[in-house]
Amino acid sequence: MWEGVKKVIYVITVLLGVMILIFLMLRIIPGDTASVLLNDHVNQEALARMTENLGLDKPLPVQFFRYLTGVLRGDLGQSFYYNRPVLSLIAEAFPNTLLLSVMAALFAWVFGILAGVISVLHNRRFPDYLFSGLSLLGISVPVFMTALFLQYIFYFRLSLFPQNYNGSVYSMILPAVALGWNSAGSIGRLTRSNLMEQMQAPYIDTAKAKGMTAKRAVLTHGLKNAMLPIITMMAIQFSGMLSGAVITESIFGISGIGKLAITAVQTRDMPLLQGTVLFAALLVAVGNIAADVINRVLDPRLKNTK
Amino acid sequence: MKENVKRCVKNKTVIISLSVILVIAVVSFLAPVLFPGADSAQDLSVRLSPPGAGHILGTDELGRNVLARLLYGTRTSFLIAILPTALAVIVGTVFGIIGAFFGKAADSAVTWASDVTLAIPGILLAMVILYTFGGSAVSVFLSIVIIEWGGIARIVRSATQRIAKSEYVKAAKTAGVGRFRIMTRHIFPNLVPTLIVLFTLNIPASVLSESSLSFLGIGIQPPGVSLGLMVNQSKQYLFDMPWLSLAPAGMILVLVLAFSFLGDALRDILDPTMKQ
Repeated sequence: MWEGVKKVIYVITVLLGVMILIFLMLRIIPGDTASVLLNDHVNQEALARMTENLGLDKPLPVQFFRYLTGVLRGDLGQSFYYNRPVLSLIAEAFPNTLLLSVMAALFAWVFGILAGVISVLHNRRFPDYLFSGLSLLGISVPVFMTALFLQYIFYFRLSLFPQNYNGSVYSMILPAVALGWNSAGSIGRLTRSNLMEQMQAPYIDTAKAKGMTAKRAVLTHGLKNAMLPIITMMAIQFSGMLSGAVITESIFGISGIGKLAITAVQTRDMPLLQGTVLFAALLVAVGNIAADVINRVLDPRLKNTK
Repeated sequence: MKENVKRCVKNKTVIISLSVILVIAVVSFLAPVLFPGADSAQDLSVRLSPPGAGHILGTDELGRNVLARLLYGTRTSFLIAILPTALAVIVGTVFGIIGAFFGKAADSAVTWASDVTLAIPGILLAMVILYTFGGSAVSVFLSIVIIEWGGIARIVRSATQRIAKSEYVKAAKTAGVGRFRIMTRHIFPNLVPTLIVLFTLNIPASVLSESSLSFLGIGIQPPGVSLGLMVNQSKQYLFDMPWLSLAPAGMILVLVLAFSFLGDALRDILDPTMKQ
């Protein structure tokens, strides 16, 4: 229990670090921040109002303290471009990103584990080479390539799916596969190497001696033991998945967190960018803690360790 | 060391992937000689011509030679993959060693700092940097260093701790050898194989980062040429002229695969413990 509390406190300090880092990086723009923020269409009155609004005339620590207390009250500032609170924009966009990531993760799990299991059951035969090759391709292909490829085949050639996300779960399938492809590849490879290792474990021999076939032993015992590192990896990859979501959302026209971030960069909307990045870091942190908890529940060996 | 080099030379994967990389590197760096000025030379009379005799890979929407641009773009991707990765390895090594060697406070500080950068999804971290410095090669360079140093520092830290616990380092300590000398003479040389592997294995990630950012239109800016930017520019012709996207995309894939194979093979030879 105490370890858990310590972990949460640590994660909070990391998030504080993230805030400081983004805050400073967005404010080391040389020159007058407000005029850079407003780009070319500078108007003296607007400039003065923004300087006042953001407290840009105050020293940095004061500005940061203002920002920090705002965030703690749930105030992420006002978007320049949309002229609305950043938090409400994020709240609107998040369900789309969540649906995308959950479907992508689901695809990655199912396809990755299936590929790994089939590879092991047909070790060094055609299915093994096929799925190992697919997994390797999965981890080597950038998300935007998979996305464009899927659009070309399944929208343009076969017209099975719409080109862009239109609000229905069905139209989210292509984006989810594009985004999950990467993780599916690494889960496939990890499942394969873990199961191979488990095959050598003494308990498989015991299971065989009790009359189980090797296949069943692997599927019932081996897979369960191979699961833990896969969960850990999913947590590690969650951050990569959010990166990929930015690209997927831009290609399939999904109004999610990533799309907000791109809009923020293109329209030079500092509060919006600051808010989305901080929100993404929060998601990663929560994901990490969740993986930790799941691992502790599933692996009794960890109970008495740090 | 000699033993390791021998084993690398004998390894088929190392030789094949290294040859592929070298051929691509040489040809792409010869681009200005082979096609002087062709990365930007426009000829609107032959715009969007399909692959054929005059232009092996066809021309793009401005009548520019796609093959020439592919080589120029590959050169950019090569430089942007290798230089920042090297810098990230240097920065990560320095902080990794500091974390492992200078007591608990330094260790916590390094771990915390790397956790902070690792908590932000790479592309979003890059976007913050690109917001401040604008889309350019330098910004992409900086982004890659900041994205990758943390993971490298973590691995270097644990490798250093492992080496520091070994018998010969203990022996050297007992013999009264100074800290600095232990680090330079006993620890660092044993880190080198790990660093080579880390460098090679991080290059694919850098290629992917660069191409993704340029694809999004916030990385390398025209008139610069990069593989990701080429995919972005040809995206609107994806359905009618897929080869325009296929050429740069295929090159990205070849680069990533070659460096991944090389990295995996080097890891198995030089530092099998890293597989964990």
